[in-house]
Amino acid sequence: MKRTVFTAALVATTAMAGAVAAQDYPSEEIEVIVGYSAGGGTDVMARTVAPFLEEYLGNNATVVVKNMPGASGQIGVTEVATAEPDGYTLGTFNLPGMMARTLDREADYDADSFTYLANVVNDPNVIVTPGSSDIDTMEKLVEAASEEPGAMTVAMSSLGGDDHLFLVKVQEATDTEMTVVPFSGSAPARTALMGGHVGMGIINLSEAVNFLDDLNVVGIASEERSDLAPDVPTLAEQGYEITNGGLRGFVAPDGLPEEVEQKLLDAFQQAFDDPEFQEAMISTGNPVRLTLGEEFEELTQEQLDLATRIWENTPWK
Amino acid sequence: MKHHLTRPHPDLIAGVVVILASVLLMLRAGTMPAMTALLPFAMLGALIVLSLVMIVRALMRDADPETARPDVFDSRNRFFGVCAAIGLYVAAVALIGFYTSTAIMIPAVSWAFGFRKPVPLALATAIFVGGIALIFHVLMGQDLPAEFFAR
Amino acid sequence: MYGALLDALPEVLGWANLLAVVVGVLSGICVGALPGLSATMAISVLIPFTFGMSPLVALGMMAGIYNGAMYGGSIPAVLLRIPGTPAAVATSFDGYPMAQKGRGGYALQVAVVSSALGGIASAIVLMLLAPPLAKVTLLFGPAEIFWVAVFGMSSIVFLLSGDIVKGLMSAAFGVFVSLIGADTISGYDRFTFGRLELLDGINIIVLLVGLYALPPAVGLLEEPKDIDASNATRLSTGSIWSAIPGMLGYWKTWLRSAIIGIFVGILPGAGGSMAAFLSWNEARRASSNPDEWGHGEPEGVAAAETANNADTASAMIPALTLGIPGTAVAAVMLGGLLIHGLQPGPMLFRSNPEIVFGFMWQFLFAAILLIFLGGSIATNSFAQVLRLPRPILGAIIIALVFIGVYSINGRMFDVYLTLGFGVIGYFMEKLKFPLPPVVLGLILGKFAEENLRLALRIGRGDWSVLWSSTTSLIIIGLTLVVVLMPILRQQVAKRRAARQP
Repeated sequence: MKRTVFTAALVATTAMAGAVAAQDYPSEEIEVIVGYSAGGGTDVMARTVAPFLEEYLGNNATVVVKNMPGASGQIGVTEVATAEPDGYTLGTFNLPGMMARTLDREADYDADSFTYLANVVNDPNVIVTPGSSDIDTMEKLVEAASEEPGAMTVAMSSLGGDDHLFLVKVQEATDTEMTVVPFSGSAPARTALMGGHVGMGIINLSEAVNFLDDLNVVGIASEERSDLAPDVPTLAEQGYEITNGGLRGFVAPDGLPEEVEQKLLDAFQQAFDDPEFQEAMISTGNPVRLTLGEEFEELTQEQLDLATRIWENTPWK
Repeated sequence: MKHHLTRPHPDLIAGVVVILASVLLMLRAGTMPAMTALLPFAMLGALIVLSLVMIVRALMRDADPETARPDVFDSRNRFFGVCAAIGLYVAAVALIGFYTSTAIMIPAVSWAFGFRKPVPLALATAIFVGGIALIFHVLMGQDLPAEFFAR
Repeated sequence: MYGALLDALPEVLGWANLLAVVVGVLSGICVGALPGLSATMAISVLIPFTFGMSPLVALGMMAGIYNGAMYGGSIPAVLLRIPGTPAAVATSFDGYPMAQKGRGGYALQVAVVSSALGGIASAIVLMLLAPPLAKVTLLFGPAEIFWVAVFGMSSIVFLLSGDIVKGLMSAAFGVFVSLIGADTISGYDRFTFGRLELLDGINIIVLLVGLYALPPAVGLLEEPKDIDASNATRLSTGSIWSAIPGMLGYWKTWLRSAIIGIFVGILPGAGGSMAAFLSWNEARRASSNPDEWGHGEPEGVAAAETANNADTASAMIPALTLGIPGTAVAAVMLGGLLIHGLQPGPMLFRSNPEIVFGFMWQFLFAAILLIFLGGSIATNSFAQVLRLPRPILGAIIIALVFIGVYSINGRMFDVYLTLGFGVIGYFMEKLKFPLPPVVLGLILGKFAEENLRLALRIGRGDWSVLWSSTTSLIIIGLTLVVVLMPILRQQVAKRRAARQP
């Protein structure tokens, strides 16, 4: 009882203090919580973005990355959702994973728990086959997969991620049924594929670009061809209007003071416009695309709707 | 060896504990799909069967007063003392911070468990805590649970 | 390609890059030698710190730590029977009995020489054969990897010294612990009790530290006579160079263990402890006095230490070429590459040859440095540290356990888990349950299960997928030979004995 009163008082004072502090934000160290270990794709993105945020927030801002790995990022994102919305705790956010977790697992957060800042990376899915395979177009792929239901074995990373949702889309669009082989990550899935142990694989573009000699990339699930692999045709070119990808961005807890939010959005926009930033992101293998604020929130809702639809039709557990 | 007749063989207690734990865990595995539950069930089943073998063996050996049985504790009081100290230390680290707790724990535990020379003790504590602080805090910027006065 | 190797050399010989390797090896030995701390933890702490450093300085430190820790882990394994790394478990089999007999100093000398040789062999293989060996890795799909795990498991049979019932219980416990966490194939969670921290499974370090480091710490305090805990007073401190000629007789073991270590390294996932267990077994089987093993046979230390250093550099082969690390430490090191924007794959060798090949040189230098740094300086100073009065040593180990476990993921939960395993480990020790099968069970249990199920998925339920490739058949054959040979040999020996009464 005492404790609740105390907490309530604390929240009230910090809220008031927050309103005042918003004008000279940032005056303290900003912590970006990353739900993965140091050296993962999301971590590298956060560390690459941090110095640009510092520069464009001004005020001698310091941005530090804090890794809270575990449960495919869920521990970290839960920490962000429940943090004080004062702009000093931000976090990385992965789609559709973070939203899919609210369906297939108990989660202490939902789509409304966040203030959406900026989605920075959009890593489109690609369909790949072993270099030794003669399947190199969608036409041949669909033909092989239609032989009998389940004839095509598909290596991908975990269930309920962007790879998986994409596969469901592909099966719907091509009217085929494939055998899912969920590896414990994209790298082992890609290795099994390169060894010819599975028929095809679904990974992200950034995971394929370094292996173009050993893999056939059948198609890329983006609206346009990518600069990272300009020879790879889109799925749309081959008659299948499917786009999908893994998204990585930044969020803050819900209820961020508007002024703070605006400052952060501006900083992200300025960082994005900085050619040095673009170069830094591409050198770490991240296909960049900026989606700011409300649009990012809509994007999240879209991804959630997609995951919900698939979860209801074909639950993966 | 005096309590030989009054206390059951430690293998017997261990067997019963393992069986109880395995059965409880098996109940949890009941709701999983078949392939997911297969190996856990196999392992828990194996633990139960092996425990039964161990219990029977212990009972047979118990009938024979000549066989020696393992002593579980060198000293019961000391064992529980050490456990309490470790538990208290971990709780203290979470509550009042790593460096403070460690600076108290090392001399306190050493003193309580028989090493009572103040100067070497203070020196060892200072070198250890200082060294850790230097490497983890100053050099690597690594966060250990924060001190209560610096939060 | 070999031209690129030479081109990378001058850069590596720059003073900053050399210094990084020296610092890495020294810190690696420390980290390995201090019970509770591990290479996994040291490298995960180091990675964020290296962001913004020059890549070769960062990678050199990591290569040094990896090699240093693999040897350093043998110091407490020999002196206190606390393996400093998971891979040093097999080192303690013969190392600790040697220390008890007053030959601890020699055990450490054998360990340092064997570690260095294993590391050197591994680094040379990494430098010269990385691309072809990556092709070997590709031969191993889920079915083949499943059989490798079975092969590793078969060595449990030899670890069940004495009490078979208790040995099997230990193994079953280890396998069960490996199953805790999300089942990636069905998406269901197993025995996580709703805790997110358990979803990724139990970290090997948490189990190892709980089972192996906490109970001895309790023991040091339980029996607090002001005596030397470590057999360190009986350490011979003779020069390493004068000891080497006496070890040359181990050359067969060195060679065999290096090959085993390198081979296990290029396979994804199984890691250093399996290499050490396998090679200890094989060396014992080949030995003329197998009964001495486990009671202080120096060749046992040589076998284990050669193998666990021989898989350091080779574990980087699949990591660099395919993005799949061969050991748990290599997995963390992969993060160290990624943080510098170095994406694994064939492109890496073309786009950043000076870094990739430089990194390989650093592995070689780190292994060579082991003899100089580990030989006398480190070994002697650590032997002194371990001579601290028992109560202080016990208290310090408790604090180190805390740091070592907390720093891996930065959370208290892992510390609580470690305490739980500490209690279990204490009673297992007292009731004479062997601990090595638990470690092997944890490493190989889920690994085998997951690959079996993936293979069956690929075969769409048809079990013949398990023996449809030549690679699978070869491994199955090897396993049978390893399991059946001792029995056959016994039979032959019996018959001979019967013939010559």
